[in-house]
Amino acid sequence: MKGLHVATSGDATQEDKFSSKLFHRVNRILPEDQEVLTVPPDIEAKDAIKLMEERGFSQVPVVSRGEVLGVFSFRSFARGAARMVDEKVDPRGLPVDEFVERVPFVRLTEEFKPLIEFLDRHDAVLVGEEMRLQGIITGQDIIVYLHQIANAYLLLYEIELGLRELIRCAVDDDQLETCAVAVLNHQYKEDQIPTRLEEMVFGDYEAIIGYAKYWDYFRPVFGGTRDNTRAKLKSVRLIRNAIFHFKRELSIDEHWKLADSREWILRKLRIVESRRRGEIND
Amino acid sequence: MIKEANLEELRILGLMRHQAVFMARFLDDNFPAHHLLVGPVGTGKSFLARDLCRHMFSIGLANRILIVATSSLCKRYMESLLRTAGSDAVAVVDVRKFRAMEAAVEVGANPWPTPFIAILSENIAKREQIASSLVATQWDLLVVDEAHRLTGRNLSVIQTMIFGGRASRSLLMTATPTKSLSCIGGQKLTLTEWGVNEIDWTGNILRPREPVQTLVGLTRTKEEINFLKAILSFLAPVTIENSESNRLFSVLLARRAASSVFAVEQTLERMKRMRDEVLHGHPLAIQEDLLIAETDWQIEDHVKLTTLFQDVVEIEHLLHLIDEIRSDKKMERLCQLLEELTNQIRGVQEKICIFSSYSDTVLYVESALSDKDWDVFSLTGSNSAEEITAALQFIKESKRQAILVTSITEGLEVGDMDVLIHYDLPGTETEIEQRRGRFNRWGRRTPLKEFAFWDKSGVLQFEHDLLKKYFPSLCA
Repeated sequence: MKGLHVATSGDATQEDKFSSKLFHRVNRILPEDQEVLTVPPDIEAKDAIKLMEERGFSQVPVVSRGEVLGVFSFRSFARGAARMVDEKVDPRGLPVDEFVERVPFVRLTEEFKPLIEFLDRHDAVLVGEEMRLQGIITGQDIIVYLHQIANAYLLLYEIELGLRELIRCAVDDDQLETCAVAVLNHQYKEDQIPTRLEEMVFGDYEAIIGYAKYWDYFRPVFGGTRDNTRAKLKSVRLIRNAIFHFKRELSIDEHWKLADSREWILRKLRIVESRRRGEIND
Repeated sequence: MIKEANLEELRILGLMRHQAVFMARFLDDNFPAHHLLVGPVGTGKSFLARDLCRHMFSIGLANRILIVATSSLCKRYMESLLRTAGSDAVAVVDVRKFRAMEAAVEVGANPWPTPFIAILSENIAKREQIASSLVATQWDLLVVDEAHRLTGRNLSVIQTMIFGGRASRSLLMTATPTKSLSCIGGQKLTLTEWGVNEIDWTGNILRPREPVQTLVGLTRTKEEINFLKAILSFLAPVTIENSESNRLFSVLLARRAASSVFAVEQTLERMKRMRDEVLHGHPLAIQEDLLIAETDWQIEDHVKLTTLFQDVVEIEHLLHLIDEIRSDKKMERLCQLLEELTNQIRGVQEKICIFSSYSDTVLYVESALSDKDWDVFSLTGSNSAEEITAALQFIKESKRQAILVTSITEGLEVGDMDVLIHYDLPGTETEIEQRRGRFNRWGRRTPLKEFAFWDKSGVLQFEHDLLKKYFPSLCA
């Protein structure tokens, strides 16, 4: 396998210590709460399959006296069964040892990219080494990991575009320019104040919407109190800063907060739309 | 008998007398090796433990130290021990770090190096792989902070370490000892209790004077009252249902409503968003940390709040009522109070802290105060130890009136702040003691000024009940 090799013990170098922290390595993809299920080689295939179904796994490492022999999976079982010569033998009653597939290991400090190539050909990749299984990575783990990284960007994209639309619903171009000139004059030189939404950054939207003097423009669209809306926008801005300035990984709560904020924007847009259609009174 | 020379040495380290006496005993070979230290919140137990670790590590008395604490305390331990041990010899060990440590040694070798100080959050210690590795290792010193939180498997891991001989010395600390702690695994730890009569180096009583408490009345608007009544009626059917999870959740939602409209709106938005997931039996993701802290509800108990979550129309109605609210009377009253305090203390530079149980409310209050003429800082559980230290330093050095808004009840060193404002009230006496303990530290010279809000409408009865419990003399 290109880029993959069996780990040797005790080779976590100083470089690994830093690169594991900074780059997308196997240790970051491996789910923190993963408890690896293993089976002994003499367990019958049908019992292993039952276990896998109960736990929602499509493969399971086969371990004998602490040594990993390989992986038993739906695919390895199907292949093994198809190759069987004696049709009278029920493959379900055979030990999993008969169906084990050898898969190479990756180290925790291994690069992320080769995993994709590997998982194209196998159900899973084992992490650690033959005498020390540290985890198992599947295609689903990669998808979940990439989704965790990308999801925040997608949410922010939708939030920002939704917010622009709400601002357009609240003020026309002239009113927006008046607001921008009055509110943003501390942040920009006089001839550089952005007056169109596409020229502004998120903090500019926040400052304009939250400005006491112009709240009457925005209240019909955002509802509630000015402080409430300001806190909502501030919450998004803080998370946005953490992402775009690479300050730290987002917590689960912050991911949820972004998703909640997207829902909030969407709800406001729906209310505006209903009003336009005359379904809700102002 | 403790030698005065030893005490003097510890005094120079910056310890208070009661801390020095305990530490001298702990270090004395003639005293037992395993201790349970019980002292009220604010007596400097964590401070003592940090100094003890630092001292024992730096003189080579303990080369392998294990500290088990809450996540927020872990950050504080890490920060203070880094200077002593250096970045290679001290680490907060999470699952990823543990895996990397394991991979760095030969198969079968012990992954815990020496010299090394390992700091683990109590949740991590519960993990099978880490727990078995911990009990297979010889530790020179084991420290468990907030030891009353030890339960189940966590407790048995610690018990095995102490009485299975894996920890040469151990120190468990708590303000609220439980039965399982005082007689851990049927064997007794040496108990030390710090009482009200402890004295400082000059013989003065250390216990701070009683706080000066004030209730701040507020009158909610008609729209606010309508919303709160609607929340209560929304929750009424599930409150009487036979489901503990539902009851807990309804209490939580009502308490968020009492805290701030912003906080409850966040939850309602999330309820709407997560409806499908909850209906399919996924664990509820709303404020589990609070449910766990306040109750014995376990995260594994999937909450099925079908009654509440199915009622999307009612949730939409509640959100609509929030849109109708045009002013926040509690926030207005807070601003008024802050102005009064600022005028009273002009030139004196008293430090003010506003406390809430909810990080959402902390964000809301900070945001609402940010365009006023004060320096406002906020701290929640998601801030790093460095951010916490920096914010406290800013507050200390601020030339203007500095205000801290926070939800952190553990490991926050704000003993020099003078005013505590409860923006909302916590659900348990332990939690209010934790809050007060952040400020009412032993050795404090001036009494703490403590404020809480009193809603004259009385629409939230539980809020009044909490006020009676926490401020009995004012509510008599």
